[in-house]
Amino acid sequence: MEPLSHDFKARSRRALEDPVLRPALDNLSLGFVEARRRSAEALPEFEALRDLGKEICDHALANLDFYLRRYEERVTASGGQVHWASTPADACRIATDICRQANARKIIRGKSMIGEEVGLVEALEDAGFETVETDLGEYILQLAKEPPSHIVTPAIHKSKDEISDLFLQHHAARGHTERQTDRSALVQEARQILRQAFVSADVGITGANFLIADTGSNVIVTNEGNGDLTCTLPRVHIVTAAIDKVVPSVEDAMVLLRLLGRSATGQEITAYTTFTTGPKRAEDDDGPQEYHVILVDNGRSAMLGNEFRDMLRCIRCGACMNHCPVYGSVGGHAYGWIYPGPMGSVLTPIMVGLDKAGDLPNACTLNGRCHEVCPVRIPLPKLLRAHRVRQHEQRLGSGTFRFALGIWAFFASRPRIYHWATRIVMALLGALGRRKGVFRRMPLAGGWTRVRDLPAPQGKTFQAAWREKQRETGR
Amino acid sequence: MTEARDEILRRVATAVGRDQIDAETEARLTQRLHRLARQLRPQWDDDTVERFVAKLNAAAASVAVVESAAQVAAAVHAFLRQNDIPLSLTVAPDARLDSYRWPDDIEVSRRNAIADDVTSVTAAEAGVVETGSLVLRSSPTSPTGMNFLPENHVVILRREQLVQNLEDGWTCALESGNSIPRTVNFISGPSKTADIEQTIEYGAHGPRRLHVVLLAQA
Repeated sequence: MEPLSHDFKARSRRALEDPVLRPALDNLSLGFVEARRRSAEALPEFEALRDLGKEICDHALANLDFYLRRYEERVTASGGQVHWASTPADACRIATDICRQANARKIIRGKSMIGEEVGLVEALEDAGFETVETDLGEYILQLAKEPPSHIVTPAIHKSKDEISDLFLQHHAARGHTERQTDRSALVQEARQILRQAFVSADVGITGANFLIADTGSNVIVTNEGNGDLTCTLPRVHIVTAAIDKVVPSVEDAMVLLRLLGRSATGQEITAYTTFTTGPKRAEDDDGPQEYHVILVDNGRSAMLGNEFRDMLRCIRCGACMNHCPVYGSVGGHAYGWIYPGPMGSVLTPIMVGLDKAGDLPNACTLNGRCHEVCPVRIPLPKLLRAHRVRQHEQRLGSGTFRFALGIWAFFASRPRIYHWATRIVMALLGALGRRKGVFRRMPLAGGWTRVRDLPAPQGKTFQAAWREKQRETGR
Repeated sequence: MTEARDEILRRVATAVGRDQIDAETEARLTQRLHRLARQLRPQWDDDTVERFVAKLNAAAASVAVVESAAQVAAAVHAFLRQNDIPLSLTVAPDARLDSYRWPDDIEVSRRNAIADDVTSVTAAEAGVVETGSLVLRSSPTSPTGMNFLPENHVVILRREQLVQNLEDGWTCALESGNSIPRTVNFISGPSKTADIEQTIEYGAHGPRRLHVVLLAQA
């Protein structure tokens, strides 16, 4: 999709006024946060597994050249084929070529973020293929022509009413002329419609939660089972995956799987965890005749060599956004691209450009919850700050902001002048605001006072108050 | 095509700080792959069968524990009747399922499942006690479609096939054949979705019901 991240502020404002979004986001932060907490508490080894998971990812990344080669060797040995794509355009071209060579007409897709990242469905449809999303959430969004707003539950912003309307509008011509309002009836209707897509598709495209270097396998986890039908029924299976998905062995993947479900939805394990290796064996009754893997770089090899390497550990669980107060207020669409929340605020500026997504690393309170819950301990606040540093170095952002920051830097790097100046300012503001306790308006602080009052300081700096308290307690 | 490959691998190598992998590193990393490193795995004190059944029940799967092979068919029969499911089974052409005598009122087909089948019966390679997962291996006698196409999936498992952790389940899936199969499924409950208003509904694309018959004695 066309990135709209430059418009974050206006999109956030609209999101805050969206009556459907509010209960959905509240539900998310209650449901998933609580479920994760419970499942983490139920596993005594959870914290140790997080350390191990981080170690495994760090090891895999530090030796990614070795593991990518080994993975390719093993896929080839199992009868599959590996393709390499530097850019999203390359990935789309390769996928389109495979579908053309297979004389395909209908394509089904299992949900994958890398597919969204490279714009796979748009490319395939532009090339004339009929493409159907099979994950229920993604299917709903395909009908609504909307991008996902969460990386695990993509249609979280859609109400049941909207889904009822969408299904009636799109399924009436296929015999479903009654507007269903019951959740299970809606799921049943989608099952029937999508079953036809499954059995008639020529090509199935899935992502991969992990790729295993030792065996050449790809791992997908789903609850619906759509990924499994997608890689079993069509005669061609294409796996799209980023190069950072490779882990050394099945043993390593199991460690990360224990973290993934718990961090994402609070599940110990999803209904289906599937290891697929190559095309159908000669004697098999089902399975695809062709097995292709498209490995996508799209800037990751550069991240591997700079301050953003830690981000490549990400296993796409969504815990960071579930726990983020900013995501919890504005939802995924405000972020303007496919990756929302803290992980998106790190990735989007890298992938679409810091100049086009400059608000994202600043839409953060640095409260640190994302770092606290990240299963592979990615220091997201630190990475967001790294973007801010880059912004400053590249002279992005408003002149006023840079000017103010310059003044602050002058004082902050001269502690004596800083103490002296803050003492005077605090005393002054304290005296001025004593009567009402708040300021309704203040020069240079319009951005703050327009929407809320500024509490008046008590008259002393924090450091002075601290020293006084120390003296009182005699320490 | 090879250009892109070499280009990406070159960029990756530069980023990790080397032009080529020296022999010593190659040997070290290869050894890490082959020595099946026993990493940290969850442990518990609960009774094996109890835990396995509880995990499956928590994931909305039903379990019947039976004492002898002669009771398996009756357990499947009871499952069908209790849920008002038509008395028709598609039983995998798996030799392990040959010995069961199905009641006369059940219509039985021995073949891979098709899209309209109501209930399939398959044999598992292992049951993972850690998570309550069934391990199924694709083969000519255990095609993957059987696990996903029908409305109901019945899996038959013997007590001695229960293993502790997910890693052990993988090992079992490999041991029962000569090489890595196309597919190894870890199945931990019926198909479900929470994509409509974050509320769970069963039977999204795969089976609406998962029923496990655990045979306590051989």
